[in-house]
Amino acid sequence: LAHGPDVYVEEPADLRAQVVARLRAAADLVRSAG
Amino acid sequence: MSAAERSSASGAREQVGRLLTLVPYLHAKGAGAVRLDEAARDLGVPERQLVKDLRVLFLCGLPGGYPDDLIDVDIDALVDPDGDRVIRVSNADYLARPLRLTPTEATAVIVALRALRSGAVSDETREVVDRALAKLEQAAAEGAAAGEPARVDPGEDAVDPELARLRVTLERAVARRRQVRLRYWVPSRDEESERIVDPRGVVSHRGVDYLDAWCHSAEAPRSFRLDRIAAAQVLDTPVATPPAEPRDLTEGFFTQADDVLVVTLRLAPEARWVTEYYSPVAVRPLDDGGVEVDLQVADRRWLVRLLMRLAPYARVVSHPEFTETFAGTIADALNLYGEDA
Repeated sequence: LAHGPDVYVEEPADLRAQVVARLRAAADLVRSAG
Repeated sequence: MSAAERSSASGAREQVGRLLTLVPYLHAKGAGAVRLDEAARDLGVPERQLVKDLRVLFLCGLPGGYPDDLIDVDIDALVDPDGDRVIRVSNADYLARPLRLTPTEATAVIVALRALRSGAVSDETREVVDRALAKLEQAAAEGAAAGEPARVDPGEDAVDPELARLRVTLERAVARRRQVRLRYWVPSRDEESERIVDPRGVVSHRGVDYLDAWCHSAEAPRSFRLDRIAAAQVLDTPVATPPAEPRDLTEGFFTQADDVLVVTLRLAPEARWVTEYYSPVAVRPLDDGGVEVDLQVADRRWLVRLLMRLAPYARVVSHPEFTETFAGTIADALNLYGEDA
């Protein structure tokens, strides 16, 4: 995650899903706070 | 530290040294057998100073601090005009016993000495440490109930030999006032850079060694973590900047002179480790178990990387521009997965 858009997780799928879920949660947090 | 404080600290150190000599000396002489003037002469200190030292000794003793725990000194006999000026010390018999370390204490000292030996640059230091280690290990082995030698080996990797060599190379460059060409990994950009620096010294902060130097690429002083230096070539070129002492990191890595921004973050409990891993300016607990923390930030990109690493357990409170950058980075990352922020 620290690498942001510089790193893309292809496999395994469950890790990719975790990354997306955390990014989505972070986006929601920033939006709700701002 | 002011000159007065330095003098006071130095005086205290000398006094502790004298006290550690004084008690065995008095024991060796026997109870009630030493006159003040004789002791002052033997110990090489003025009588007035010796009385001052004995007044401090009066406050020393075993943990607990009750009167029976403390060393007793008959001060009246020394300062009263009718006193016989004979030093009488009692309740200090335990100081005559040889020092005994528990296995845990001995292990801690041995590990510390081995770490010191690994990092020692001079042969003289190594010899002194080796002698102390041999004595301690012998004593620990003799004291072990099972008769097992109590050797403690932190392993070859306790101190990276390459780092130790690099440190020696850089310290020599400092001493010879030669420039150094560095290949250095910059974590905030995740890239390796090459630069010429004027080395000023190797300093340690929280167990990490840094080369403090004037960087000709940045045209500013910079600190380089030794474990991020990929290569260091000492050049024949003399340093081009005036001599300067390396930075004093005892008060922390950041100083007032740095271009440092204090940023307030709100951290969920999952991200509380930040308060222990970094050195925050302030930490304020929140009702939900999280914390609000003020962090010094010298590199904006570092902060965004930290926020990404902590996502979704951290957000910026104080500086809206970071929130915008952070939100933009999240959106870019989500786009990779075909998601909109």
